[in-house]
Amino acid sequence: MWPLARLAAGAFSSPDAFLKVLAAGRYRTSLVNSLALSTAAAFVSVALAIVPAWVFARERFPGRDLVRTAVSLPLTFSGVLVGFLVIVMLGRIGAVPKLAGLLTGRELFAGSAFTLAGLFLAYLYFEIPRAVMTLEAAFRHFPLELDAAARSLGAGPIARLLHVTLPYAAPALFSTLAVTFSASMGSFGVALVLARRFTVAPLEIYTELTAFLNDAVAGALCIALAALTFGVDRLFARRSA
Amino acid sequence: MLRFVSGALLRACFIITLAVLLAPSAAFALPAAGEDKIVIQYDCIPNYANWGGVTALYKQVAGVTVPPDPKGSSVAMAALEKEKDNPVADCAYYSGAIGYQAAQKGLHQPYKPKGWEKIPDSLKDPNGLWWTVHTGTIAFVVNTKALAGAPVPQSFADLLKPVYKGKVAYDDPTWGGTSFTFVYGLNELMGGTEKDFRPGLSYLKKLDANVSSYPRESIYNSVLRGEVPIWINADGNGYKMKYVDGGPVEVVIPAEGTFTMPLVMGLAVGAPHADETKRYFDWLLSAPAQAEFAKSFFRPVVAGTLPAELATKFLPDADYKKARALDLSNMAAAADALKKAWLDEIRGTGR
Amino acid sequence: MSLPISPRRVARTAGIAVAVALAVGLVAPLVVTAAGAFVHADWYGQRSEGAAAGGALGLFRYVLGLWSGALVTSLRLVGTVVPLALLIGTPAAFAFRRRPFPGSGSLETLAMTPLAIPGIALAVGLLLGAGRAPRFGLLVAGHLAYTLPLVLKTVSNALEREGADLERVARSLGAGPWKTAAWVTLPRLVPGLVLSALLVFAVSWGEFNVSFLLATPIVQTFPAALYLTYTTNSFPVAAAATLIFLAPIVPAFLAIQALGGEEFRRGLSV
Repeated sequence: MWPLARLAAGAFSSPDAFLKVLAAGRYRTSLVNSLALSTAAAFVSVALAIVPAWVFARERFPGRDLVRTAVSLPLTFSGVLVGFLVIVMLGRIGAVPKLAGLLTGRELFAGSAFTLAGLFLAYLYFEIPRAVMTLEAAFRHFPLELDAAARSLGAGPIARLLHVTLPYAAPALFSTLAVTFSASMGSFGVALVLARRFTVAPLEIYTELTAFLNDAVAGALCIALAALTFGVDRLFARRSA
Repeated sequence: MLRFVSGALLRACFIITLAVLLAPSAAFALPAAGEDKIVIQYDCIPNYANWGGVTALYKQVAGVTVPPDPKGSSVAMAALEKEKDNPVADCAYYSGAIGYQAAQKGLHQPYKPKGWEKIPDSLKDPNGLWWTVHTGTIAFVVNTKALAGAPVPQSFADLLKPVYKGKVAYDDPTWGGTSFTFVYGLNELMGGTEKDFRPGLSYLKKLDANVSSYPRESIYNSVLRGEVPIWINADGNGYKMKYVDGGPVEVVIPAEGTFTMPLVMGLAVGAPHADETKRYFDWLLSAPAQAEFAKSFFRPVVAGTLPAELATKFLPDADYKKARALDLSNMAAAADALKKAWLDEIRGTGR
Repeated sequence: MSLPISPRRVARTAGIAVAVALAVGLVAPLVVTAAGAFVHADWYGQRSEGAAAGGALGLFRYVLGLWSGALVTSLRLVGTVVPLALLIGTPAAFAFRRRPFPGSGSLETLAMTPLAIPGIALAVGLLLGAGRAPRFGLLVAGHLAYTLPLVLKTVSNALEREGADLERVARSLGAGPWKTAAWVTLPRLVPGLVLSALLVFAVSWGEFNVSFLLATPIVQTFPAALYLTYTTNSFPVAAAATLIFLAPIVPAFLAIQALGGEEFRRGLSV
């Protein structure tokens, strides 16, 4: 806890650092970018995680363990590793453009690793496993009787999903959103490797710290980032309670 | 009975688990990286000026490890300043202006390595606070294959053409000294002064439309692989790609002119391994070390140590006549303001 | 009934297909990376290390030579953090669950907060507060801050699941508190402890924020070295280093799967 106290003390002792961070400009942009990117990554990864999580929680099929291991593996990858993998696939001479070049004669997506889309994909790469595993745990406790009752009342699979499963799972979905969101907000390695023209708050913090010796601004940015994360987390948490 | 056996089994499991978990602690028996002879140099990028080769050679001849370090000049200076009360590094390597600035800030202690007299006076501090180890020239490093059919740019004017959109990169000048030298020199070339940055910044603003990134790390390999087609950096890095690594790379001295850049070193105040570092400095000016730098086409500061077969691979002298030397004291004085202006005007809001 | 294709079957098959597709998508970059290290480096353009030319074996030897210091640091770090996290976390979780004391609730909340704040903020706080503390000690402290909550959570869950009944029985039969803890509680916690150890191991091995910001050229962890490799080395070297990083993780994950690691996964996804 002490580091946090140190951060807060440093930041509050120089209120103008806070004003600088909150004033229009690079710092505020980076915070807004972080917020937007993390929120989008949280929603998309949770949406993509629903089906696999349900399958892992409910279905048995050959190779299931292997598939699950594969999905959960990226949980431990540090951000720089994920960034590297995205470059491997989508760099200017990455695997996807090469393959596209072989198939269609045009090297599609070349260099997209370094665009906003590439950064977003990288966030998804480490958020989807997180989302799948959190949701799977929640789905495991889903009372099948409810589903069976709905079915016996004549509800089709889609109606059951919309009216039974999703409402029941809503709290879990929201808490999963919170988990993925906060992880994205603090992630640093991915942006370090991939972000070119686009900036996110952790990157600005790093730059202030190492290039400009601006501990006060870096501290203020940290506090602002932590406050944002905490605030949005609360928002999700209230719905998941 | 059964209960007893299963209890014993569980306990055995527990002990085995503990043993397995504690096993990595055996790593403590391994020799620590910090226990051999070591010199810590900030800004020791293996693919810049052949530091990889030079440090490997030093390990071989002296048994001293100089670990790689990814900081650019400005970051190296910032780190020395930050750690002033609790020094970590022994020395740092910079582009001239930044080393000059670091010395001004009192981050260096004087030392005149063996061979001091062989360094031209304009390339060293009379008190030994910094001195040049080799020089480079700002140039375009062009991966012709990655240009995908576009012609090789020959001038700063060429770089503004739309055909190079997304193909140009130069390092963030708040990170690397090479790039700071480029930005400062460009401003002079465009008619600016150490007080008036507008001419340079207005060019860079136009160039911004074509720039893919302002890296804060070495992109040597990205350029070699073709991720980045045009890199405004030191000529030697391009020659090394072309002649040592066999890449499809050309070095271009821009038609409008360019700038030479001394690359300097200094002994950090409070260097933890000061004596070891002094021996290292002495060696760096020796003929074998200077020749090793030359393998990456940075021109040795000690005259006569550039091997003849390497000398022929540089662009003709006519090109290098276009390179001018910059005044280090003016550069150092303008450094903070210019970096800030660049941040505000060019990197701007970080879209 | 006799329909060969029921909607239920279609949904099931489609769901499985989606899951498999996802897994393939997540693993594909790793496969491509491995191919880059072993098969055909020139796919990814020119390489820059002449020294690493001698086939896959030479490549790995080169990478190990380059980063042996970082590997040793990482091993030492993990070797320190895993036992420490368990030794501190297990009794703490036991106290919070079985012997609450005044203020234990807020202490627990406090211990869990590192999970809720952005990783970079924690790292910067440590760095700014570092002063003259030895770097390795700081790294250990940073990693403990991240991993202790995981141990607390996992062990707490295990304690709650097991319930206190058996312990009460033991106590009523005359066993002292230490005897009860050693002979009744601990053995039943073994699966939870193994899982938390693996969890701490995986998190600590891959942690980047704290490791990178606190790194010096001497004390540098392997993930921090990975970043250096990605920026300064050519593709095959970077790919080989990545595989070395993955080497202990993949078997660990397979082992967890074999152990049935629901708990573990839930912990990791926190």
